[in-house]
Amino acid sequence: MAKTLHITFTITIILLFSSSSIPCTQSQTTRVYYYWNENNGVEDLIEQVCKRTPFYDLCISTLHNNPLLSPKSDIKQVALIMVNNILSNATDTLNYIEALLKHTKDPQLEQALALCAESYIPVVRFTLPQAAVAISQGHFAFASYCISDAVKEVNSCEGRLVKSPSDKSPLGDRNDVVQKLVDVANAIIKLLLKA
Amino acid sequence: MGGIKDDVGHVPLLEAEEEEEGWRPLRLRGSYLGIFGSIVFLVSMAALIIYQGHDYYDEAKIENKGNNNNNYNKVPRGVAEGVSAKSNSFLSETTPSYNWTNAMLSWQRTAFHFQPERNWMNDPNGPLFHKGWYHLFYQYNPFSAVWGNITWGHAVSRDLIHWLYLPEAIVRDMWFDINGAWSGSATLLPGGEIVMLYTGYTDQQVQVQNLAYPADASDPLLLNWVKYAKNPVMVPPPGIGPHDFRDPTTAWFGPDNKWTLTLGSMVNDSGLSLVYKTTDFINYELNDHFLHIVPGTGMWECVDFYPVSINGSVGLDTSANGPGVKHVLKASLDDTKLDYYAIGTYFIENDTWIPDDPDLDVGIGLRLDYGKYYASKTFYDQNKQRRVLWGWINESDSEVADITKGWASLQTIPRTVLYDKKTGTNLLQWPVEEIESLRLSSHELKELLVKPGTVVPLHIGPATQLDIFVEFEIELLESEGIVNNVEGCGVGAVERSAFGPFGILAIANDELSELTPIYFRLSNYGNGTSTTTTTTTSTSFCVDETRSSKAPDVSKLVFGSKVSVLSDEKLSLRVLVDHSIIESFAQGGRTVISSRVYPTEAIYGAARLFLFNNATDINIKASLKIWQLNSAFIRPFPFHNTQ
Repeated sequence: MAKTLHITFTITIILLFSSSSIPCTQSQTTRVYYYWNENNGVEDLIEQVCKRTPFYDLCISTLHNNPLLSPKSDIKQVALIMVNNILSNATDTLNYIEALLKHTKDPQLEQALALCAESYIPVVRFTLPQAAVAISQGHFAFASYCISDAVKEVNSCEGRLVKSPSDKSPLGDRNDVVQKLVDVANAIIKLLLKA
Repeated sequence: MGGIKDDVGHVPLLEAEEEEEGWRPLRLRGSYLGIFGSIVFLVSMAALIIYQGHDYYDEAKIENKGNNNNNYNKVPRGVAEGVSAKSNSFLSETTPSYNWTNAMLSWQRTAFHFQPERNWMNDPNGPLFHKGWYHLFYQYNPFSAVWGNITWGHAVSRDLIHWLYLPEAIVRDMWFDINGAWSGSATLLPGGEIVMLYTGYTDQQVQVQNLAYPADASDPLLLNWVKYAKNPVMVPPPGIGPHDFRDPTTAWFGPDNKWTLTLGSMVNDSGLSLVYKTTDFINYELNDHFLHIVPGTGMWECVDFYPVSINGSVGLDTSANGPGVKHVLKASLDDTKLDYYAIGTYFIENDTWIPDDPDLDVGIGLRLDYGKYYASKTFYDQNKQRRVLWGWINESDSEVADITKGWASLQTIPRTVLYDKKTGTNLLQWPVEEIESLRLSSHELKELLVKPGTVVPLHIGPATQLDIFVEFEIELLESEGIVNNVEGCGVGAVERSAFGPFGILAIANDELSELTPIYFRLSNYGNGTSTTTTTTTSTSFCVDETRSSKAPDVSKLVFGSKVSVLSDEKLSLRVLVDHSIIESFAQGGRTVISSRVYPTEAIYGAARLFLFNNATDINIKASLKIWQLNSAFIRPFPFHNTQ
């Protein structure tokens, strides 16, 4: 009995000490995640974050084994990684749209693709890079605004290409993936805002 | 059947009182309460002002010096400081003040036109696109709903429609702008730097030009601005009065490897545009001759000078030049509070400009907008390669009402500007396409027949936030040629003639006791079977505010102008309705009229839309597409998360 008490007491002290030795970061919610044993740190951080996003599997697969994540990472770094990931996906999608535009002969599709490109260009040139800078500077509200903006633009592109549920998008699932990724990023930034 | 009332149009007051007899005692009490409340409000406003002891009261003292009138400033606001009048002088001291209710006043606030949350705004300043954001700065009084204490307000948007308020960009904190940070323009340098030139009103009451630039070039919101330590960079030169030197334009880069800019002034009642050259935006040389001068036009405020492409398809950077380019010179006339422009040729070798048609020179020819409109300014939007035009729309109600409701003035919906290559003599203005993002549901009505003297209600739901497209076809009722020598707008839509007026009634109630007709009026109508020799037809495009409101203390004018209608064109109209502002565009934007309306009854759910035909000798067939427009939800930038 005394032994169990002793062990419990020791563990509690250890936990208390480890939680109090966290370096001060701008984001305060990160404190939550240092309870975990250092070996599982990254995995558990990813788990904790992704389960609070609308697309858990996509979130996990993006962050899993990502070399930029370390046991010292916090939600801010996760958000940054996600935003940069979206940026590269969106850039690829935009390049694909522009390639399709050069080759299509269907005027309706051409118009829809052109409008889609118009939505993607500001997202790739300005919105996502500014969101990344904002996150790294701790301006989470501005970052949230940027990501919401990106959500709107990407959705409007989808709306132009897919008018009914039976339509198949000429972009395959590229735009769909970007849409889901921005929704995930949106959710992650909201976690930062709640801090 | 029912037609437009042919009398002056007001429903006799007696009728109204009889209808509401049962409510009379309550309303009387209500009005006493209203008067008492207004007095308490005004007294506490006055107390606040005295306690704060700031400029507003001092300015009022200066203007009232020498007369004991404390109710209405005899000299309109601004004139003493050497800018154009910023208050409405149409109201005499004896105009009774209407009993405006809170419901009527709050209805007046617009849903998708830019206006600050409260207080006074005037000229748009330094518009630009930078790193994904459109910026609008504006003349702003942070303390009250009348002109004064002018600083630069600031707002940003992704799409020129959904604006987010930011903190003030330029405040009056240096000797060279302590009495006002007045209007100015931005120049975007090739390396990405932004240079802002603005007029400062100094501690010695002299108008000077100052240089400012963003504190942090990498900040996409351009929140903070730095003033050049050795301001001013331009002071009134010899021969130019200290109150006749303001509103510098965007600079353009020329083959002499210098930046050139212009600003308006006046010599002996001739309005003119001074030319300055610089390489560093710090040191300037004044040219010995003006860009242009037009006798008798008075002081030129808010001069704007920019190139347009004569193939009329895209906007041009301010530095563009060459064959296929003409230049527009525009001035806001201090004396008449009207914006004029002319198209002409820029001789870059000696920096002079000559209008294509001297009879349509600046200040005597075409106006950008024939309604309530002033201090407009364009900028080149490099994001979408278009030239975009902003314009300030003042209130036409009383100052007392503005103070009561706590705000005054709007900006137009930004318009693209293109050279009209079909006529070759004017510009075309059109609301930016991004306004379409506000569209909700639509109604389409095809070939509605409207006979002479009839009004057709359009059942489209709410009628206070609309984007209306109309096309008209005309059917002559008699085969004999009718010669109809009427021109212009007449005294309003009640004045009938053979071929007009016909159009729409906006912000109208069912009883038609308040209505705002927007209409065409043709002088003649050529017909293939007519046996008369070719008659010239002129078409006038008009907005009639005379019955827009029962209230006596608002301005109610008839605005209009001729509009060219080419032989292959139908008569067409686009109207943006947004509560107390109506922007009307004829023939694709060849003639534009902005109008303010302050109804007392035709508000909220009581506002309707009608088609009307008050001509005597024609049927009209109208085809319409009408969209409900959403609010733009203009609000402060969401810097702080809400918890």
